[in-house]
Amino acid sequence: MAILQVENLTKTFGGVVALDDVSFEVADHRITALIGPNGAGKTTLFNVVAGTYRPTRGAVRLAGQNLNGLQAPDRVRLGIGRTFQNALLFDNMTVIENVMVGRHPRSRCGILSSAFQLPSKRREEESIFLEAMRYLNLVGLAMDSNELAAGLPFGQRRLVAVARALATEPRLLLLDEPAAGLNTMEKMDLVVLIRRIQEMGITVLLVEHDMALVMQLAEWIIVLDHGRKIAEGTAEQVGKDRKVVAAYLGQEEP
Amino acid sequence: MNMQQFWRRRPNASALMLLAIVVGSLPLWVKSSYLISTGIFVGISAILTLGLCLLMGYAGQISLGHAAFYGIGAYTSAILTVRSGLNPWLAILIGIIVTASAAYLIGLFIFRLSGHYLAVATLGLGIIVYLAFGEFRELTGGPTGLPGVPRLAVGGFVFDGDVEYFYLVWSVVIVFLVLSLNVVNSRVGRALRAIHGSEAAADSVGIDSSRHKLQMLVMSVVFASVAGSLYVHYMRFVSPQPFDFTASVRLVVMAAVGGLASVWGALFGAAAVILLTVVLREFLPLVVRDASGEHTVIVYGIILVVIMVLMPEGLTVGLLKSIRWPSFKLKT
Repeated sequence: MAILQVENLTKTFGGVVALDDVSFEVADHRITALIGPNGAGKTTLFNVVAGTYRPTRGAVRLAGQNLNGLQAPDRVRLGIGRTFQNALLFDNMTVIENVMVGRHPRSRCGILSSAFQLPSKRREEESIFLEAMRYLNLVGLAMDSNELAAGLPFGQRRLVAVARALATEPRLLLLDEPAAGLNTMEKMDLVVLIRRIQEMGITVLLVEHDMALVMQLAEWIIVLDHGRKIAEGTAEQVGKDRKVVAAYLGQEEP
Repeated sequence: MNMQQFWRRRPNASALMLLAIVVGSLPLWVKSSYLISTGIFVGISAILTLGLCLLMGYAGQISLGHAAFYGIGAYTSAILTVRSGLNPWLAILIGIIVTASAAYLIGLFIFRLSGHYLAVATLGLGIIVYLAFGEFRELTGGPTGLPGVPRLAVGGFVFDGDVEYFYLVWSVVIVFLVLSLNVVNSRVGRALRAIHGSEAAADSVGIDSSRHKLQMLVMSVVFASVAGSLYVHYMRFVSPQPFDFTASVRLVVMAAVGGLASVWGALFGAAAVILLTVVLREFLPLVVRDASGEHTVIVYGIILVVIMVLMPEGLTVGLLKSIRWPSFKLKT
């Protein structure tokens, strides 16, 4: 069954066509990778799926439900989590607070119950903290919970972002270049973490340039080039595809 | 547990207690009615500044017409009690509802847009409301104002003296401080700080920024409305002048002096600016002949620019940071 369906998606910025009639499906519980040369439209696609951009044409469906017209926060509530290339943490907050913010869509205490310190607020704050700690533990950063996010090294910032996204309880997690800038050890940990996420029943769709990592993790690969889908399949199928090889090596198509 | 430990563990509770003691004992040793009256104005300004600090510091939005909300609260109280003979407490409640609804409607449209459109919209509202106070004479009494606002009373107890009113105003200040601290240190406060940190990231964890900004605006104007009601029941008279553009600018200066993202700073900002106003009133005519309200605005403007350049977090926060007082860390 497909958890995500992208149908004839087109996105133009002025005259520039960033996505050109892209269609594919992401199967439930499978790790899928989205690859392609720089400027292929991968991040644009993420932004359309997450609701940051409106598509020019086409539709995005989550478990059959058409998401067109829904804002990004609504889509988070429906189960789309994401991370960004540059982590994009709340640098003015501590690590644990960053993850606690991730519990926002799964908690409900409003301005009035907060102002009057109702018992429901205390209970909810407690559970927000404990849940956040659990996700921080999962990415191995429980020890750094009280550090200011701004002070963390790059690799760990990525992990906080993953924990923050997981805290929203996504059904589909979009990871934008999770391995960029990581060293070999960190990449190995990342592979383990992404497998753990899959075991939790979350479908992972990742954009990644590190081919070794993609080949290791992805059960299905979608290749974009100049805003178009040029191939999809298993690692083996995609690796043999002439169009894919051409796109990466810059050969002229015959 | 000794005092220092308690302070470290519960900084806000300690500071609140300290404030309650200082404020509670003030009228016991300050006998000058001029100073008590100044204390009442500081308290009313502190309520206004508190609301503005929440809006500016936590929601990242500027209101350049906050005096309008202050004025709507004041005029609602005055008109309903004088013209309709309504119970003053009920009038205060209606004032809150009117002010909150006005802000809600504005916010509903404004927060769909990103950027500082609220500043422009409130600037416009401030001018319109100020003119309306002067023009609708049958209702507001026009530029000369509306006298005869009754005193506030609870049962048989009438707040007829300055000291009684001082206690009333400062009780409200403390209650609003507690409410603000609770909101700031909650899921809502966290969401607001997240929006401040990165709006795109806040979006990605399902935070509806416009909704939270709107809630903060409404909370902020409710404070302003109550401050307005307290003001008219103290003065027992209302006229448009205290709600003009200068008043809005002065409120922004108070918030900036106090420290934008600091609930406690609001108190210091309000006190500092009120005292400065008193000093300017005495000394400015010695320097500039025929100095008027217009001249004090220039001074406010200069102060605002200097603070924003040197201490963008506000004077109080800036000074506290430069002192590096180890045990003095308030959680705001």
